[in-house]
Formats: sequence, structure tokens, C-alpha cells
Amino acid sequence: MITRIGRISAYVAVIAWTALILLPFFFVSLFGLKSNTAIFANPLGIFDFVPQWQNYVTAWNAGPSSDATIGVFFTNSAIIAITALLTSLGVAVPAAYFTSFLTRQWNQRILLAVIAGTVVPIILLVIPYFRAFNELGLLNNTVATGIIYGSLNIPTAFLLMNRFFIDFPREILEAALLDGLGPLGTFLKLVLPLSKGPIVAVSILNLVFAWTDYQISIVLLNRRDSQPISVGLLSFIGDFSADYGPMFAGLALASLPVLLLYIIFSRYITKGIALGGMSK
Amino acid sequence: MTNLGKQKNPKELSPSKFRKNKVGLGAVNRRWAIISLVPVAGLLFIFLALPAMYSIWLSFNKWPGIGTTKFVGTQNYETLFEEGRLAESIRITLLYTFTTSFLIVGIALLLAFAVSSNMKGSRFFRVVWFFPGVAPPAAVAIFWSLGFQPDIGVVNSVMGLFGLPSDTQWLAESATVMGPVIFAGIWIGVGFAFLVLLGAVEGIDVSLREASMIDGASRRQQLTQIVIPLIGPVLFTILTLQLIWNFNGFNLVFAMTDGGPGRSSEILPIFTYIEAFRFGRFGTASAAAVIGAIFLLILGWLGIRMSRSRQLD
Repeated sequence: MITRIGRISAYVAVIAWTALILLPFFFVSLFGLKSNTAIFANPLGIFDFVPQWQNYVTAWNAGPSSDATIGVFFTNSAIIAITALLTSLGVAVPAAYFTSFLTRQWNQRILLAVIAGTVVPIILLVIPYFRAFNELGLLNNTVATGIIYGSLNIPTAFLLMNRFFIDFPREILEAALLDGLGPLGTFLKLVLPLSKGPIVAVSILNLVFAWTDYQISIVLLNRRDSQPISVGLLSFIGDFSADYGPMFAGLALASLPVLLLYIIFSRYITKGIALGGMSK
Repeated sequence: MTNLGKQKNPKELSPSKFRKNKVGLGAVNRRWAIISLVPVAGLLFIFLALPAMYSIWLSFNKWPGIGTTKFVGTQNYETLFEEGRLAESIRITLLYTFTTSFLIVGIALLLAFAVSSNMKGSRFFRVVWFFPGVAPPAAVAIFWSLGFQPDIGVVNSVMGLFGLPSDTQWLAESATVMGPVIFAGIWIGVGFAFLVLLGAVEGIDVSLREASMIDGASRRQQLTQIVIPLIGPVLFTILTLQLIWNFNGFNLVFAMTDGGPGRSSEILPIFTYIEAFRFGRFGTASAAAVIGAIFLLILGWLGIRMSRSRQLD
């Protein structure tokens, strides 16, 4: 009897939490399809309105000015995110792999030195970035900002990949070595294709960070036509003050790329994060 | 290298040779380890170590955002403490950081415990509960700040249904502003902590929990006497991570309140941003950032110590 009550209360808690998580996403999608009048007449009505699909088109082309629309913000975000991804993966994955062959002690030392970087708060970095970028003429340069986001992601990428490579079956690598595949060839042709799972997990975490953070880009990208969507969102309420439908459509658009990527690859990500809890 | 040539003959692959070969694997890759670590060290030095040191240096200078810097000694720090504004910002930061982090870990632990006892659909929850952690914090901020608007907002509408006041100007009054902010912070943060803790809870030997159930232990006893002690180190690690992340919670709070009304939700990262980029006082801003970094170092150090001592138990 007692366990039954416990089981039921567990279900109630789990369903309540799921509703709390999903309802905002539902409301944003709902309001994004409504006209202003429909939103104010009956915000929670589900069937009593005509879907306004053009809200999404309006949102895509809307913004503070004609050269700073959500479409432009999206392009900037994509440049930043892809640059960040190439930087962090290109640098962290080979290093995490080759470091795993050092002695345990050295691998551990290097790992500690690398992840010490995660404790440095971004506020401590932003002002120096601003000054350096200002003097080098790099302000409003999306690629340069992307390199920063990529570099800040190196510690996490290194940590997760190194953990994976340490457990990589050594027999396979020895066989490749005997076959005359050099160290670099082994890494590129054998190890990389077998490491898809963790590389995907690291990539998504990196893309989410570069797509959603604005603490750095708000300072380094101050011209509106160079800003990413994360900064563009800040003036959404002001930019769309008269028109809530397209504003919610814009919110949905801004969240969609990362959410889609996450849903498609969720298996790798949830597994990767849960591993963090198991292995300690 | 001569070693390798010999081992191409499969007949010579005795166990002892294999051990030598393992050394060989390390030896051929060692050079590559050094080469591949150079760009890691380079980027981390340029984008982390160097700017951090520069900030410390700048905190002893005056710099209005253009032109040259002027050395002023500890004056920036004195100003911050004299005005009492920094103390207020630190109070708000600690309130936000600790409330949010503890509630996140508490809720995540209960959810992980509920889902781990063979609940149907646990894969669905695993995926869905992390949605808020993936959505842009600024978008989340917009949604919840509209949700907390008087009368038209979702939260106030729901409160109205229960006969509670539905016209509270949550974000417009300094007494209530931290409520919605902490709420949104929890909404974002639980998913990640849940995934980590679920990994830990599922790592517990099933027979342990089954045995306790046969012994008549209630669910609460299972949680407090088996699960929590066994996952103690992970619990401390995730709490430390949450404290560090929420201490840096600029993205959500700035988009939600801009530090206002007045300065009543001005956590340290916002204080620093406004001090530098709105008032052009980059020296005092750097000093505030340095103080924040010291707080974080203490938090991180304490967290590591606590989780280590738990591990020894």
C-alpha cells in the first residue's frame, strides 16, 4: 500500500514536471500562429483562431532595420557557430586522442590544466576581448568572435573526448600499427570514424553554447547587422511591441535550430551527460 | 622502431611482446601528443590565461574605454567597497546562486529517483526535460517575463484561477523581481542535473535497493539511506557545477530584467557589464570581475574538497 502511494505520487510529480517543461514550448508555437487580436481575445484558445502561417515570414524579414533582420541574425549565428565548432573540434579532438597515450599521470596532469580553464568566469574575459578586438579592428567580425567561442569550448571537448579515447580498445590500434598505418593514419582513418557518438555529443553542446550565449557577442558585435540571433532576441519585445504573433514566431525560429539538432541526436547527448554521473 | 619490424611476424606475438608493443604505441604517439597540444595550449593561453591576467592588471588602472590607461593602485577596489553597491550586488548574486542551485539539485534528485525505479517512458523524460537547457536563455527570458506580467501573463492567470492575486507586477517591483528570475533559472537548469544524477542513481547496484525493499524500507528511506549516501560524490560535483554556472548566470538574468528595477536584480556579471559598457568605468568593472573570480575559485575549491572527502567515506 505504501509503495503504491509512493509510486502514484512519483507519477504525479513526473507528469507535473513534464507539463511545466512542455507548456512554454506549446504556448510559443500556439501564439506564433495567432494574430494579435486572437492573442488578446482568448490567449489560451486552441481551436478558435485561423492559423497565421505568414507570421513566420513576417518574423524572418522583421528587425530593427532592413539590414538587421532575423534572417541576417540567423546568418551571423550560423557563421559564429560553425567557426566555433571547427575551432574546438579541430584542436581538441586530436589532442585528446594523442594525450591518451601518455602515462596516466601525465594524461591526468594535462587534463587538469585544461579543465582549470572552465572555472574562469566570462566576465573576467570580456573587457580584455573588447580592448584587443577594438585595437586590432576585429569588432563586428563574426568569424573572430566564433574563434573565441570555439576556444572557450576546448576544455569541455577535451575532457569528454579524452575520457572516451582512454577506454578505446588498444588491440585495434595495435593491429593498425602492425599493418603499417602510421599514428596519424590510424587516427584519421580508423579512430575518427569509430568516435562518431562522442564527437556528435561534443559538437551539439558546442553549437548550443555558440548559438545561445550572448555575453561575449553583445560586446564584440555591436553593429546591428553583425549581431547573432542571441543578441537580436534582447530587443525583440521592443522591435515587435505592436505585434505579438510574429514575435512569438521569432522566438520559435530562434530556438528551432538548436532544438532540432538536439532532438535528432538526443540519444548521444543524454548518454554522454549521464556518463558524467556514472564514471566518478 | 626495430622492435616494430620484428613484430610484423605474427609468430613472435607472445604476451610479453605485447606489453612491449603497448610501450611502442605510447612511443609512436608521444611526438604527436606534443604537436597536437601546442594549438590547445596556444588558444587557451591567448583566450583564457592572457585576458584573465590582463583583467587583474586593469583592475589597478583607470581606463574609460578609449585612449591610455592610468595606474591608480587599489583605488578601484576602495571605490567599490565605499559605495556599498558592490556589497549589494554580491548579496543578490549569492541569493540567486544558492537558491537556484540548491533547488535545481533537489528537484533533479527527486526526479531522478522517481524515474529510476523502472518507470515507463523514462527515455521520453530524459529527452524532453533537457529541452530548456538547449533553448536560448534570452528566448526563455522573454517567455517567462511575459508569463509573469500582471493579468495577461500565464502565471498570474493560473494564480487567478486559485483565487490568488493575479495583478502582481512581479518584474516591476524590487521586492518580487528575484522570484521569477530564480524560477526561470530552475526551469532551465534541472534537465542537465537530472541527466547526471540519473546516470549516478542507475549506476547503483539494483540488488541493494531490492534488498532494502524486502526489508520493508519505504521509498523515503531508500532515498535517504541508500541513494543519497551512495551518489554523494556526484551530488557534490553537480552542486558545485550548478553554483559556478548560476554565479555566471548573465544570459538569463540580463535578458529578463536588465538588472532592474533599479539595481535590485543586478548580479555580479551584470554589474560588471553595466559598469564597463554603460558607464565607461572599465577599471572598477575589472575589479568587480576579479572579486567575482575569487568567489568562484573558493566555490570550486570547496566543491572539489567536499566531493573528495565524501568519496573517501
